[in-house]
Amino acid sequence: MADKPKIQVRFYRFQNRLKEKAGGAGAQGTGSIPEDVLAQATEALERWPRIIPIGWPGC
Amino acid sequence: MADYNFERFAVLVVEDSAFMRTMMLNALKSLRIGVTKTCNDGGEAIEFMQLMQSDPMKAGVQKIDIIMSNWAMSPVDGMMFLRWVRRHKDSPDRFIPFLMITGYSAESRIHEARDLGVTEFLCKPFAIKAICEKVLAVVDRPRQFVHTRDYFGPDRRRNKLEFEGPERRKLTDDSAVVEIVRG
Repeated sequence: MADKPKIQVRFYRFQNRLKEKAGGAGAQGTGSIPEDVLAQATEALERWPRIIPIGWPGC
Repeated sequence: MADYNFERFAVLVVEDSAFMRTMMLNALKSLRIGVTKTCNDGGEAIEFMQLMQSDPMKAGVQKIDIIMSNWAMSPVDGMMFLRWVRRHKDSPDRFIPFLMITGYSAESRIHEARDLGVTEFLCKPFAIKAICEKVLAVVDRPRQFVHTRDYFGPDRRRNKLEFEGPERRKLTDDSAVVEIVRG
């Protein structure tokens, strides 16, 4: 049986620093974005196509 | 399920279209992201990242948590910027989550970005929900990084398939090939 080619692989794992920043120290499980923040953001983004017509550069 | 607060987050938006850039900033501010920085193209973003490392006071931020970059820009596009972030020795953080934004979502392009180490892919036009999903994916489901001869970036395997063969490799934090990155 032919030898398998040796592939050098390294894996890097980290502490979830972003989760601590968003959810506080010791945050566990999954989180969500507060409904009121989401509603405001949706409203803010949806306002744009009414201001600048679709078809402009970058649209 | 806890509510997240992104006020301590710093996001870099790299976009050549002033319209899209302002729209992105508006959306991120609405999501209460604490610090948002913008650059016009990949070259400017590279200069900004270097400035952040050498003089954080002047850059106005010490560390960027997430990069959101358009793909098609000139003279330095999103892919070149991604390559610099992941592979260049001067990159301040090779592990930073990188969201690629593009209007071209052909599978080949997604594969191309994936193979350069992109974290998530966001297709235009996008809704606020899509941005939220990507940010939540970065926060809730961070992937280990893999370094091989040809690739450096987040683990590209997302499916957890059962392996029935005899030589299953078991990877734990204590495995010789695993390095724990602090900070």
